[in-house]
Amino acid sequence: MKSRTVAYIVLAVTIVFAIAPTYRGQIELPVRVHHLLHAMVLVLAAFTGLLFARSAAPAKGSRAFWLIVTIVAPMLAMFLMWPSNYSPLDRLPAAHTAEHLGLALLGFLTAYAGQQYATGVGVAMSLSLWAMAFLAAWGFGVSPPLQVQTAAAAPTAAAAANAGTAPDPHHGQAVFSQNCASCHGAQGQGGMGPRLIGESSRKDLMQAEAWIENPQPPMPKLYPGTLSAQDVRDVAAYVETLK
Amino acid sequence: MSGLLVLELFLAIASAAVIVMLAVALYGSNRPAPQSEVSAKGYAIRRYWFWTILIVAAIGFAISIPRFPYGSAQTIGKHYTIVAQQYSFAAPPTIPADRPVVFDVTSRDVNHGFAIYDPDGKLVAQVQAMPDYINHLPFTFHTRGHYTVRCLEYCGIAHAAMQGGFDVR
Amino acid sequence: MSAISIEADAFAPATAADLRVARRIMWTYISTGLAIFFLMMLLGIAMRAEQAGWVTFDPGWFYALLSLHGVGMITAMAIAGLGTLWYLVRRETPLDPRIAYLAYGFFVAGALCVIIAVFPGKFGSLWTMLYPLPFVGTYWPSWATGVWLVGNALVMTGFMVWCAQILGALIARFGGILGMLGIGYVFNIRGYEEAHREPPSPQMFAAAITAIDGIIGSTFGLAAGIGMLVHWIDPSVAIDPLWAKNLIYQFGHTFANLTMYMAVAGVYVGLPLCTKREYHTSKPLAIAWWGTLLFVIIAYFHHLYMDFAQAETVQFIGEIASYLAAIPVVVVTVFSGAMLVHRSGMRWSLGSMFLYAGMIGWVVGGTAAVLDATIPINLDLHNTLWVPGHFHTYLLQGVLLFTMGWVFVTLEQRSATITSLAMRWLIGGTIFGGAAMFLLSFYIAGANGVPRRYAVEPAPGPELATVATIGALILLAGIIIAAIEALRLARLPKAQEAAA
Repeated sequence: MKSRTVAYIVLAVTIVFAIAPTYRGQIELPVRVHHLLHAMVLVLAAFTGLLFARSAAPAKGSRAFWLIVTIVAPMLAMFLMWPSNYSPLDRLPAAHTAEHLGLALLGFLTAYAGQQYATGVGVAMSLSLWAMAFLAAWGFGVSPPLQVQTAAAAPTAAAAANAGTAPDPHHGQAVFSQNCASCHGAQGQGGMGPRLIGESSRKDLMQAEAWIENPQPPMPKLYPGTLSAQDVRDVAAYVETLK
Repeated sequence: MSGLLVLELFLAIASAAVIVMLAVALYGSNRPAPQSEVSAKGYAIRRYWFWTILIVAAIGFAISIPRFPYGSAQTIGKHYTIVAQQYSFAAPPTIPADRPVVFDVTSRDVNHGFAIYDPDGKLVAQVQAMPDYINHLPFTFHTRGHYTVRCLEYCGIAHAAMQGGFDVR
Repeated sequence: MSAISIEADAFAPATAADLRVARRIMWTYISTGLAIFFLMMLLGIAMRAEQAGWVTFDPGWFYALLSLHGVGMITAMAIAGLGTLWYLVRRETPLDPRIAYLAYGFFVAGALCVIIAVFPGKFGSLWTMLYPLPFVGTYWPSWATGVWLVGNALVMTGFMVWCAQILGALIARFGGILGMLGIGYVFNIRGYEEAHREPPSPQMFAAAITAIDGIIGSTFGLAAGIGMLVHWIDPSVAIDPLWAKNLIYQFGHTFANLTMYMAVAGVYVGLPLCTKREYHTSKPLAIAWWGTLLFVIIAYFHHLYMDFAQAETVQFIGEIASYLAAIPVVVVTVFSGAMLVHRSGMRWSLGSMFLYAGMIGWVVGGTAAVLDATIPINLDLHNTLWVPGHFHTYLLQGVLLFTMGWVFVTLEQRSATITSLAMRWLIGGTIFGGAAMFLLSFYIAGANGVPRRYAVEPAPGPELATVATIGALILLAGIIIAAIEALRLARLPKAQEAAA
């Protein structure tokens, strides 16, 4: 009976620990810290599950059920670890609390069901779940150390500066050889992509612009990511000149 | 190390392995021996074999370390920014010869490769072009001419057509 | 069938009826695996023929087929290996057959999703699906990405089910993780001898390492896969591309590597049957498997050698681990296999020939892998055709031959018949000759810097693709003849003193 008492105490600690961080008020936790908190909740919950499994009677009947639970629970937990900055659940404090309790429950189930299936499996699956939570902290919803946004964005920014002017087929030619020539050929003669010489007989300037802005696969959509509105207009004007 | 040299090395080791394995299996196969006799000899050989393999691996590792392409790339030479995107490279038109340069390689959309082929079409160096990261590739060109750049990481439908290039002068 | 209590009956001997059920499971897994393998081989030949210019199709389809080919092949080899291992474990400790069918169901469901993502979805992000590729600049519909991710998650779930079942059974059978990995044995050999206690058999090491590394690998794979699934549902969730790359390669490398360690169980059991010699667990064998246990999960760093943003220490670890991973193979398993065969008076039946040739293929593919895992060499070979060269050697002349060898040894033992000499020459000649042509063209192209994963290759790619296609067709013919021969042997009546 003593181990049961310990198990209930650990359970209480787990629940407190799962709920407490959701009352963070106005303090915004970084995603990584949040993931690591999840990992700690899961460690506590798994520990609780192992304690309960120790004092529980061995499972009877079909144990395949417990095996499915111990394997599916970590996956559902990974879903619940949906990074907090984006998670729809996090906008409501109550939902966020429920999310943490759900994580605790899944952590508990992973360990408990695994041990009920066979000794050792609950430990292994708990470690797997904990590893997922820990891994999540280094890249799931965590923005990379973006050293490069500036470098990558620079050409687009320069193009944006002279937006709104008349189409410039000369600049369009530069855009074309940079972005389009690998598929459509350096002179628009075609290659992996269709031949563009004489395209003006099929599409007028407006239609060509519309197509580049919203192409059908396999042609990549480069607007508005890579190309500015002005780039699109220029390159469409250039394509119209291909005869 | 040039690819063709590696190929020769590989073919030498591989054919030696095939010959040795076949010899072990076929030599004396018409004069069966009890397992205990074969095992006693085999275990004695295995000890030497283990140390041989371990030493060869250690030597190989030691030779390779000074040739690692990482290290102080950020401090030496002139830097050139390379921006890859589906399906082209933004690269400078000319690079000086006989001087250490560093390519600061990144990508605007998905993962790409930045692989430099010399005027003879031989692959001389490469690095991945990743979104959100800059990879610094140090290199010194000794041969002048037009170098082709190819994408070596699958990036979408026109991956095979994704090319660029620059002149080394 | 009543539930089996593993703890209570871990030592219960398998009855004839149990073994019949287990054998049926093994054949279900193996035949599914080999059937998928055969279909994937046809796709492979179609792609090589396209590169050779014999046929032309849209590059979008080329990459869609390549995606299916990669995932399908590894899954096929894994399914066959898992079935064999399941049967071998069942011989030593009780296992619930329903769980084997549950895992099988997950594999089949996952395979169906993957196929739907490609036909008609035309999903073409390859098995690597390096973030953000499956979401950016795609030529396939978004649903295909989702179905593909779900399919992969289902395959990993099936693998997890298998691993968890075997892990639980082996822990119960060998008294905990220390007993299961032979740690108790290695540090107390005298105690084991005095108590007349047997260490786990060699094939149990294969099962144990597959189960442990399988759970570790699937953890990485599911973390990346579910992360990307969340991104698919809500594109505003950012993912670190380098993180995703690490996780996916960790899973992919572990899974692909484990297919070899699953199939090697066929050698541990099959070669002693052929040579009428015994193969026991020894101290070096146990220690070698511990090495494998560790190196299989960290060697994957060599996939990221060209990501200079990755910490340099990790690159060092990658090279060391890749080197050390080779040592257990050439010093213990292949060496012991050669020792078993040496002067045993073994007959070269198809079974023994495939098992022995598989070991040679393993060493040759391993040599190519170790060379490529050397960073200065990798600088010139990374993502060239050298890479498919080495793993096609490993899979085609290693894993596949082990699987086929195991199948033939079992059939030959069962019917007490071996294939005629002329037929053995025909099958051996076509399979090894065709494979040599097919594989050498990869290596030569790779050494010349021809990139991998190109629908249209620069010179000398197309010429070598022609050679490869011819080689692959010869190999295909050999495999078809071997399959017909296997079916013939399977239909022969059972011999009296059948073992296996």
